[in-house]
Amino acid sequence: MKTNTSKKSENIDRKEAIKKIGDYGKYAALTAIGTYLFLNPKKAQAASPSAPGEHF
Amino acid sequence: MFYLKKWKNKTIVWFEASNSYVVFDHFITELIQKLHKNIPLFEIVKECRFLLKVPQRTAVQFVLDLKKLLHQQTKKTEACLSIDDDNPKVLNVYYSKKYYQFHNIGISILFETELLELLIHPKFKHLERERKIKAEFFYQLYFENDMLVFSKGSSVVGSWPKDEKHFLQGKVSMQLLADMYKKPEDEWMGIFHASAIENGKESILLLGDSGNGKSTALALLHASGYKCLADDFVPVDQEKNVFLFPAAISVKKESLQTLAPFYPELKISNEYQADSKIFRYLAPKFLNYQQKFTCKALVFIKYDAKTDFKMSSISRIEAFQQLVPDSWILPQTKNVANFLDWFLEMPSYQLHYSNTIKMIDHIAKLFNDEL
Repeated sequence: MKTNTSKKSENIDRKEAIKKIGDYGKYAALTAIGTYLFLNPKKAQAASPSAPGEHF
Repeated sequence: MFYLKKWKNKTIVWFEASNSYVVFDHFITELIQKLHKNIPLFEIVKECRFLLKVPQRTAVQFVLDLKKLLHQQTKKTEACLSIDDDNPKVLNVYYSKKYYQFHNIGISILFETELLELLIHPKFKHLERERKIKAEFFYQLYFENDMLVFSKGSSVVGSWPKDEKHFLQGKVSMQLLADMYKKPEDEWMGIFHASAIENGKESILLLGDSGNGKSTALALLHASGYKCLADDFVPVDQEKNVFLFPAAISVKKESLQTLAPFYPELKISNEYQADSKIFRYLAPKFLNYQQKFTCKALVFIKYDAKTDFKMSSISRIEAFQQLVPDSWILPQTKNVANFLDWFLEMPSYQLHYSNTIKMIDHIAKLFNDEL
């Protein structure tokens, strides 16, 4: 069985997901054999990054 | 410690300590359960060898990886330092004090500086009341020790570094939501980064990355007769109903030409800038705080100049990958179970368009079960 989590994440263009997968890349044997995917929801409610107020 | 939900040939595991959702093949989940029950490693390795038909050494490494993963995801993290327990600052000098009306609830917000006002006020300007109204809740936004602070009444709700302003904005929206519906944060299932419309009976959530055209699609659908439930911040409660959140729709400069014929007010509305994007706010019409709607489908939408129209259903797991990183889901086991039940029953689609008529037509078909 092949892992394809990185590929999937690139397809969906999720910087956050890619970062998370990067963090878990250390599970080499697990990655080589099993398919798994880490997803972290937002730690709190958040506005869209493009909401006003960038001048801090 | 963790919650498991089987879905076809996968298992979704939610780890409470890390608030992570991990999608595994079933056999991995079974091994994790055994590790969690402290079944001797040699037995798990033996089973792993049998299941995977791999050499002993590979099986050992595999099980050790799983053990490490389980440890990482279940260890408690230390609490962050914050000034949340302090009393709110008394602001004798401030930039502005605004009064807003959300249905029959009056809320006053005091902004210490113009920049703080800019973070919140433009999205709710259409709900501002010029004359002082009886406010039931009093919010303050101010700076303290180089942090952005949000207080309500006599307590500090939270504080954030300046580069986490979107969390301050999210928390203010969450508090407004809790206060306008008298429904505290822990009674909501989640907040989704989406736009939501309703047809009087049901709602549809439009999702996708920032810049994909969710808000433009929302405004177009609103102009064609659907009511706007929410833009950017879609609240769903634990009874799985989508609620109205009356913040203004953000319209990017690139969409002005498309939307101005339907919304002439956009031509004279104030322009704002953030992250090199220029946009204006459009106040939603016909705000009805009384109704709530079940969700009919999730539509991952993208404006694509090269595609006339393309719509297809996508797998739950594919939708899950796109939904979760952009959502806040109340991190409690009962709620996670509720969320997964809701999500895994939800039809999900991918829609790419440049032909707005076809986009509106297909959303109508989706509402009318004609797809």
